[in-house]
Amino acid sequence: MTSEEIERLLKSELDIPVPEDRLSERLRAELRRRPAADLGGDAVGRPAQQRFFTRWGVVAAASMLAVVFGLVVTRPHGEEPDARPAAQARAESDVRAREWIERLRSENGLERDEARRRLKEMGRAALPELAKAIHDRDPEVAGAAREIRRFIEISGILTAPLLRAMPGLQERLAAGDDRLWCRTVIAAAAVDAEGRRVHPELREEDLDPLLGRAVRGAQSPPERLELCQAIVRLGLRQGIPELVKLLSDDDVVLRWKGAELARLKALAEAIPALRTLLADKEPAVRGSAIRALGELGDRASAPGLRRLLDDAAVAGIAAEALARLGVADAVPQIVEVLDRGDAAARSGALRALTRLGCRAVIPKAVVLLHDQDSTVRFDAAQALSVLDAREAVAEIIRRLREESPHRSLLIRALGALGAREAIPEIRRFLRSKDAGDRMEAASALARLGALEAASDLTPLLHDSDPLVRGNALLALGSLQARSAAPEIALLLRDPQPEFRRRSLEALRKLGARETASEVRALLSDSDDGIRLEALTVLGDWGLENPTPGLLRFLKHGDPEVRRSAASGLGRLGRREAIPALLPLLQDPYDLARLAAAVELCRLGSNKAAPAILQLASEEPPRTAYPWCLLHLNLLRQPEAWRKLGKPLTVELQGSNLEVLSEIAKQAGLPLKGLEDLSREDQAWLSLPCNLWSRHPGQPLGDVLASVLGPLSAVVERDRIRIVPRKDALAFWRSWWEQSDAGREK
Amino acid sequence: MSQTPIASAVMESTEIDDQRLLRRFRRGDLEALEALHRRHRRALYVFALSLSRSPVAAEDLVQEAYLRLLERDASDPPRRVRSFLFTVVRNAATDELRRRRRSLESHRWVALSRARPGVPRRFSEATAQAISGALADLPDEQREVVMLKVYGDLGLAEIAELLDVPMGTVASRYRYGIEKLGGVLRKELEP
Repeated sequence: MTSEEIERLLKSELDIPVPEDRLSERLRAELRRRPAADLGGDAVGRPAQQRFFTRWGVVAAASMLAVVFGLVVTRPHGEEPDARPAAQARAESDVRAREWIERLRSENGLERDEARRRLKEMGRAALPELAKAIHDRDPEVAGAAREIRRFIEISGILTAPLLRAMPGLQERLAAGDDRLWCRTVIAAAAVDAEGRRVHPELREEDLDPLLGRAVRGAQSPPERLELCQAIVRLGLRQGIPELVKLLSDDDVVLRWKGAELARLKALAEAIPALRTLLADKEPAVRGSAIRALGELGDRASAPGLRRLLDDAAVAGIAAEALARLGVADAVPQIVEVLDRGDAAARSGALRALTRLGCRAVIPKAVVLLHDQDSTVRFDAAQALSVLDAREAVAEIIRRLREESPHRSLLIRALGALGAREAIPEIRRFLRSKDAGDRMEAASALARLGALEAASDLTPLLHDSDPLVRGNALLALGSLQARSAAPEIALLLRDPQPEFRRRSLEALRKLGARETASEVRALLSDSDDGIRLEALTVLGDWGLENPTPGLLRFLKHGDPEVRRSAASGLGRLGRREAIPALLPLLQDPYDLARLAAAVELCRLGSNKAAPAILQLASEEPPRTAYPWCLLHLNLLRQPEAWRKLGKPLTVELQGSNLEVLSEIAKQAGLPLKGLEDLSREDQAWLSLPCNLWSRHPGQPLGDVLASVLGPLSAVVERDRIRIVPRKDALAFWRSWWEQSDAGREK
Repeated sequence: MSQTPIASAVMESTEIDDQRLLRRFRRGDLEALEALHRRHRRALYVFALSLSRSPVAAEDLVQEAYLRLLERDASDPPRRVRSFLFTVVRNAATDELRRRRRSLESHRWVALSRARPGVPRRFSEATAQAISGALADLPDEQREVVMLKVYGDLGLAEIAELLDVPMGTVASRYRYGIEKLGGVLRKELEP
């Protein structure tokens, strides 16, 4: 077929239907609509355009054309102010809306679709005519008008971030019922397997407008609960009344979970309803309400909580809540719970008395080291350690000699109490038949700095129990037992990767360069994590340039390997690693982001600041996040922070305040801001410090980060300012926004 | 741009008529406007359709082109009325496409023409669809030339003048475009 033949065929068989009549009619209609003097019909010879623009002004003329020409110059609703008189603008909008509504009747589906689109584009200007069209005799036109009207109304409340996160949401909501609104809010708050929000970019203002209908659309109890969980995650203050309503629901699960949500969200509005729940018939509901009131700091509920110390089902929880509220005069009642309560009550009472710093509990805690319940035994050991119950050491040693059935916790308590006089006794248990004894003895000797026990610890590297082997490794590393290095190096060939990794860590701590050849062999280990560790250790010893290898590991598929690589690069102080670390700030794995941000701070790159602020603001907060906030001090006051890099020189003891003061003293930076703290924070400072790792050798900054609890620290040139965490976050945000880099951002 | 003498003469005679009709309209003769509209609306519509890919948008573009022409200062009429109309359509369509990012695209470019008594049809509805699809797939510059030539009733010289591109370029765009459509046709019409 030639070109001519093809053209002839196309011409004869096919046609482009040109709507000639309609084109003419539209032009005629437009001419009728305009004043005769504006276009043509010039009686006095003046140029038509000049008269047209003189009458309305240039902007007015442009606006009129904009409305008339629809597709080409119709603007989305609200984009620009309209300079024409309002009445005329409205009349013209109505005409256009009517035209498009007429086209909803077309038999051509494409034309109907286009009319729909145009009416949607007109936005609120089309609403008056759409309201009339809803009553059209043609049910299809009426239905379309109804849907378009809903679409326009919905478009007015949906924000750009929401539409980006959920494309097509207008159409779906316009066609759906209230339940769909509910599901939308729930979907906006969805979290992934790691508990991170799928749409962290969505904020309160994006979802608030949807909440009213979402609440109406929550049909079943599980759906109401899901919605309330979404309200909490999204921080929707408007949703608080709905959340409070859960507390008086007939459904016990809703009351129970509602109280939990109120606790998590620290909802002060829920306090009256929570007080009512103290008399709930369900123990689980009472328990949640008690915890919530305690965490909310509602001291007015203290009398009610004291009564609940007689309620066997919740006595332990009530005791802990009272301790949290600092109700010291409840101590005698709580001590009674120790004697008569079940295991949960005994455990709660022990924790409460420990928190209240009640030394009278020490003799009972020694007895409870033999409790039938393992949690109670553990809490007893913790109580003795936190209360620094050195007066109990002799009694504990005596009981240890009695071949107690629960010796391991006695050993742990002796280690925590720094009872060096017990070292000979504890060494005996390195040869115990009980693996728990051997394990605790190894740990306790490490805590006591018993280097003389290294020869007894070394054989445990080949213990039949893997936990004992692991603890022995840690202990020898911690004790700097260099004599054990050859034995530890043997474990580099252990079939279990975990032991190879721990052995590497121990050898690094020992600085055992003589084992470099064994360590180097691990550079070809089958486990990527081990290869990375080996590279880092050799880098630490200056025997290998680990940077190229670590940079490659930053792109590894395993997030833990990426995290370790980031930590390794930061520890080595390689500034050339900064560009490679930056992409890790966007890593899907939060701990990898955290490691990258902290290491970038160490390397002096302020690009880490936004990532740290984001991590520290995330809900629910992770334990590590407040810790990472502290590292911003590295960017703001690097010299002062370096003083906190010194190692701790004494064993820390006493209250939180005493421990903080000791750290500050060793760093040479006095504590400030304590007098400005709230009553609750002051009360926390007076509580015994329950830090387990308090032995010398650790960097002061690391200890400070572990001991701050609800507080944070801003390091100044000549002092450490102690502030509540939320104030610290506000401070660092403001610092970042005012910094040069933040302003550029 | 160089033109063949014939093309130039065609354009010139068309232009003389267009200017005459425009002047008559300026003096209040609405029929002159109707005539001016009739002269170009088909080609303009086909051109607008090839650019906008939407029948409704094409209508609007034609409407706008004429209104822009009429609003133009009578003391400063466009030198070439048809070129002016095509330029308005092209510019306005470009603005619109930029705004819409071609989110709405029509695949119904052509329809079966009306059956003529005694003349058997060679194309089926499926063939019409296939040609529509092939037209949609053509590069923009080939599609506009093919559509203007086949359905806009314009010669290649006129198209070159209107699009402001050399005649040879228009001819090659047409050849490539029409051959692609021919390939589709051959497949469709094979027994």
